[in-house]
Formats: sequence, C-alpha cells, structure tokens
Amino acid sequence: MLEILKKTLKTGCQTTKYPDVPDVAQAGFRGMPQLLSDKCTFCGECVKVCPSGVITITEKSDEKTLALSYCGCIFCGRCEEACQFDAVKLTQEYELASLSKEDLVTIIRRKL
Amino acid sequence: MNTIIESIKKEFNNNILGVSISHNETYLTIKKEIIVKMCDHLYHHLDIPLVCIFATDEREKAGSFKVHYVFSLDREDAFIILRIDIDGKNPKFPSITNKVAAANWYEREIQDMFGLIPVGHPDPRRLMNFEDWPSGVHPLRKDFDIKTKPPRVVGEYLYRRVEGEGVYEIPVGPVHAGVIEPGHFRFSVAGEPIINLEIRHFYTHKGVEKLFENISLDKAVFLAERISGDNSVAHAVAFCQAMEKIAGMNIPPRAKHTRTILLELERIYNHIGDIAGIATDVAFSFGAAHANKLKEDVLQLNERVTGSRLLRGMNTIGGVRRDIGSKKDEILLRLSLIHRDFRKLMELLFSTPSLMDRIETTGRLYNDIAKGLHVVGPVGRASGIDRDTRRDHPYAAYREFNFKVPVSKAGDVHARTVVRGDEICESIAIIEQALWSLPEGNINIKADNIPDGHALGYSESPRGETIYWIRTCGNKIERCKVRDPSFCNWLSIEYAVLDNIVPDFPIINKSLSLSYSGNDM
Amino acid sequence: MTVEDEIEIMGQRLNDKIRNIFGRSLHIREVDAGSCNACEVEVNSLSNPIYDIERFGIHIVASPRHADMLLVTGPVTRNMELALLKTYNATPAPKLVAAMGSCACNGGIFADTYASMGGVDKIIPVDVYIPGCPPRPQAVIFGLMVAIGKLEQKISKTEVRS
Repeated sequence: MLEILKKTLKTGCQTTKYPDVPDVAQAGFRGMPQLLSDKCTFCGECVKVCPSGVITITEKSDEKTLALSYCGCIFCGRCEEACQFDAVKLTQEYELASLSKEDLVTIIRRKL
Repeated sequence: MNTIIESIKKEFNNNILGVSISHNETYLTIKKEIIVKMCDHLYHHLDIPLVCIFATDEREKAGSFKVHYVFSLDREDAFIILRIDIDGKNPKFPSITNKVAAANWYEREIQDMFGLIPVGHPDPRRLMNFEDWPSGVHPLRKDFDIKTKPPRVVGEYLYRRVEGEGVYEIPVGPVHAGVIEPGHFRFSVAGEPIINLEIRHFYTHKGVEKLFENISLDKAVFLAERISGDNSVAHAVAFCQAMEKIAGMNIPPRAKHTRTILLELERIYNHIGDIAGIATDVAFSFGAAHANKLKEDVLQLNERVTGSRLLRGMNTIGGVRRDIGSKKDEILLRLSLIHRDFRKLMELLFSTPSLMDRIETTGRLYNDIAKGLHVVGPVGRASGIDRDTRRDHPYAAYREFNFKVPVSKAGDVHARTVVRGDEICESIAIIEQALWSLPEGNINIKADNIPDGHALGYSESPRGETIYWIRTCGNKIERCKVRDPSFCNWLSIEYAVLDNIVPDFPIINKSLSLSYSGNDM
Repeated sequence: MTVEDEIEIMGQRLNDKIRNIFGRSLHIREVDAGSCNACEVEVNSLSNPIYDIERFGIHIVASPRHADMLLVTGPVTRNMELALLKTYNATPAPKLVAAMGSCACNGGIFADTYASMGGVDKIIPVDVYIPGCPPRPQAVIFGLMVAIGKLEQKISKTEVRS
C-alpha cells in the first residue's frame, strides 16, 4: 500500500495539456501531405505510387485537375518520395477532422 | 535435413512424384492418397510441427489445384513442404484433421475460399464465408473477380449445444462491451463455471489475400502492414523477406539491424499493453494506469524515431525507408528509463495479492493441448513449447545477438505474464546490442523487377510465428498466403476456459492476446 | 420570413442545444467494423493517464443504448454490416457518428471489394471524419471536439488555379 502511495506521489500528473496547449508533432512525423501548386508539373508519378489511390489527375477539354483526398490517405509518404519536383511534402499537421468529406480535398487546376 | 528427407523417401518411395529445393524449403510432390499417412508420420513419428496448410489455384497453368502442407524443422532452419494435386472436376482431398488437430481451420478455410472439400473433416461447417454467402462461390479461385458482390442468401449456422438441467447459453458479440475487435463467443454455462465455449470469428474478413493479387508489388507492403495493425512491422518484414528471397536480394547489414530494432520495439509495446490489459481486467487500476503510461512512452518513442506511433511505413522490399542512426542516443536513454520503471512495476504487480489470486492457476492451457493445436508465441512458450522463430529460423540480424527465450511450464495467466515480462527485458537487450553494433552503409537496395518464383517469409511477431508464402508471376503477386499467429492460437481459448468461471474469461482472453483482424484477414 | 426559414432556424437552434449538451458529457460506443486493430490501439490510448478523455466529460460506454456517439473504425466488412446497422439503430436519438481512420472514411487501402463496403458512410450517416492511419490520439481528441462543437475544424477544401 505504501509502495503504491509512494509511486503515485513520485509520478505526479502526466496528463497532456492538449488541446488547451497546442501539441506540435516533431520533424519527421507522417502528417498531412501538402501540395505545392507552383512546383507541380502534372507528371503523374504520385498517382502511380499511391497505395490507396487518393491522388487523381483528370483532364477536360481545356484544363487538367489534380486532386488529393485526405479521406483514404494512409500517410505513407510515397508521393513525397516519387515527386522529382518537391511538389508534395508530408507536413506535421494531424488535426484533419472534418464535418464533411468535401473539405478533405486539395485541388490544383491548370489551363491547358 | 538430408537424413530426414532420406527417411521419408525410404518410407514412402513409390508415392513421391517429385522433389525440388528452393532456399531452405524442400518441396515434395506426393500422391493425394497418402497425404494422411505422410502427415501422420512427419507429425507424430518424426515430431515435426505442422506450420501451415494452404491451397493454390493452378488450373490455368498446371490444370489442377494444389494444396501445400508446410512443416518446420526448427533445429535445422529448414522447411518441408508437401504438395498434392487436386483435379478441378473432383475437388476433394483427404482431411488430416483427425490425425493432426492443428489442420482443423486450415482445411475449413480451403473449403470456403477454393471449394475443395476435405473429406472426413470432423467439422464441415463454413468458416470465413458466413451463412448468407451463396454456395458455389469461392473468392480465391482465379475466376472470381474481386469487385463481385454476391447477393445475400438465407442460411443458418448451427452452434454446438450443451443440454442439461440449469445449462444456459450466453452469446457474446460481435460488438463487445470494451474497445476491442468484433468476434462471437458462445458459452454454455451452469451457474458461473463454463462447460463449453465455442468461438466464431471472421467478422473482420477483408479479403486481404485476394487484394494482394490485385495490388502492385511496391504497394503490397502497405497492405501487409495493415493486416494486423499492432503487428505491422512483423507482417511487413515477413512479406519483404519472402519477396527478397524470390529476388535473391541480400539486404544491407544496416537495414537488417534497423529491422531488428523495429521488431523489438513493436514487441515491447505490445507486451506492455497486454500486461496493462491484464491489470485492467482484474480491476487493479493503479497497475493498469502505470503500465499504460509505459506503453505510451514506447509509442511516443516510436513516433520520434519513425514518424509513426505504430512503426508504419518503415519497411520496403530491399531494406528500410528511413535511417534511424541519428536517434541512437535517444532510443538508448528512453529505453533505459522504461526498463527501470518496468522492472519496478512488475515487482509491484507480482507482490499484490489481489492480482496474484486472480491470475495464478487461471486459464491453464496444458502442454499437450497447446502442442496439438500448434499454439505459437508467448502463449505456447508459457505452456512449455520451446519454439521461437528468431532462434529457430534466424532472420534480419538475429543471428548476431545473444538473447534468451523464456519458457514456462505452468500454462496459466501468471505464466504468460511472466514470459511476456521476461521477453520485454530480452527485447531491450537486443535493441541495445543492435544499436551498439549498427553497421555503416546503405539502408536499402533498389528492387527493380522481381523475377517469377515463390518463397516462404517468416518472422516472430509479438503474438508468435507469422508466415507468408508468396508466388510471383509477371512482376505481380499470383498468390500470397498469410498466416498470422492468431489463426493457430484462437482455438486454444476453447480449452483454456474450461474449469474456469465466466468473470475470468476477459483475463484469459487478454492473456492469450489474440488478434481478430490477423486471424480473419 | 417563410415557414421553411422558421423551421430552418429552429432546427439550427435544436442542433446547437444538442451539441451544447453533448459538450458537457459525451458517451461514446466504439464499434469496430472490420478495422486492422491499429485504431483500437489509439482509442485505448485515449483512456490512458496521458490523454485521459474523461477530463472532457467523454466516457466510453459498454452498450449502444447508453451512447450518444458511435465511434466507428474499419471499412465495414460484409460480415459486420448487419451488426453495425443494428448497433446504429439501437443507439437512441439524438446521436452522432464519427468515422475514425482512413478505412472508415472511404475504405482506405481495402477499398471496395467482395468483403469490404468501402467506408462507414455507405451504411450509416456520418457526422465527423477523422483521417489518419491510425489517427494520433490528439487527432481523435480534436475530431471529437469538432463533433461536439467545442473546436472549429481547421481543414477546408483548397482549390488553386495555376
């Protein structure tokens, strides 16, 4: 009993202060992939390597669209590895909860 | 190994149609009619454990189905794989379950997935396909398209019934009261003592083996990681090793050491989590809170080292994707703190009478039952079965390290907890050795085209021996058999709960630490 | 103001009142509809002393009948579809549904096959999506806070024309 009391007092309060105090994930964390539209060349390498197929490129008559959906993203980082132009980077962002699926998408449109 | 093959050839000479050797696997193609006798000979006479049974659909290439029986020669780091041909027009094969009890679920799985009927099987009910699945539709056959959605039909699954005065049936699941995966348990009880338990799982069957055939090679490792979420690294390593064997790749030593470190980190957080679960289930909240805090320390260390709390995204065919050399000092420091706290916690847990009273002699799994069912992992070792893939079939960098394999004879919840506690200490020692001797060099080699071939990959996950058998063709996976350790271990719960009371069921279940998703695939 | 507008305003007020009540005490029933178990490890982490969701008034309950919210993981396998539907119907209104993990959001790597339905919203309506594989416990706490209206969601649809 005394041992339990001693250990409890020694350990103290371990609870995190999140969400009152922001919790920033450290560098290297596999977070939200960010698309940099000025670097993207629409080469399609990221589309080929994505395991859950959440990156798509579609072409209409006058414009190309690249869409990345965070819904099915497994945060593996293959898109970042495959991109030769540094247009996709995995950030440390993890607060991705959304009330609708439409908000979980990033789109780049480019006129042909 | 050669002496064993010679003795088999002497015993069954006329019935062996072909012998081929590939890496440490010897394939014997034999006549279907003698499979029962040969398996009986290997299992009972030569004492070689049956590790896996699986089927392949080779009607297009070879005109028949094939069923493979994998036996493991532990002392010699080798495998014997028996192969029989089954004609598609007469899809039946002799069941070996009456002689080798461990074959039970494998044969029922082949029946559901391929439509090959094990003649003489004591339990011919469906396993993976539920009663609403139409008959005659078998998902792993090559002519079944993965996107097909067969209609639901009306059917009934009959449970074993125990009848008598005062005997009640308690159905539990699939949605359980705690935060746990879905599965069904049907107890037959008279008051509190359990007379019979029947389990029925496969609620989380996601069709993983079929998905492997429809995903490209470079993406398949991510699928392997997601079969049993808390054993991601072990599955990924077993998968990668099978592919590397097919391609004849020898990965760099730095990658081997890194894989070993990741595998042991996974073992540590799983075992601490199991010990926390046992403390929770006996309502020793203090112990549970401290064990959960230690588990969280390990998960946060995992995230700092690899970017993922469950060590995902680290393995690839050819090595590992990230270098952890720069994190060496941090890992050593944090592990030493965790080790010190863990040892104190275990002393405290084992000196608490209320906890000890609940876990000693509870859920005893006797050695002969464990052996008969081919129970693997810490559960098997706690029942006296001295098998560990890391020592018997060394892979990654395990050959270079000294470590003990804790074994106990008691077979109860206490024995399993002690075995897990000892394994954690051994794992920390292995990580320290691996980090101190981390070689320089690359962390992976490029895997371009994987040639056609087949190989067995294996690893010791926190739950036990994980087996992958992969055949590639045209740079795609033609067949991938995944055997998670829980597939072998689940049936042991039906025996471990006998002579125990219903309130002890959660502790027994937790001490066996069984994965539902790994089992169901 | 038309009758439709009035109904709209009343509906919004009711929604806010419900969210307010949930914000003080939310009872969650976790349903695994075929996940690989990683999300369960993270939901169990929520109850450990470090994250301790009880300090928000969030409590994990044993039965859907006691629940205000269903936290669903997994892509909803064929074998779990009926169990999930029954659990949803057993939960008394008003209720919320949170889809946790990439599998629950749209099937993830298991996609849409003979055994997997391809996401929770194919079976029951979902109120909040929490992406991640598995989502960090902090991400789940954030998702729960967004669901009950205590925090605003950070992500929104981004469209760039270049």
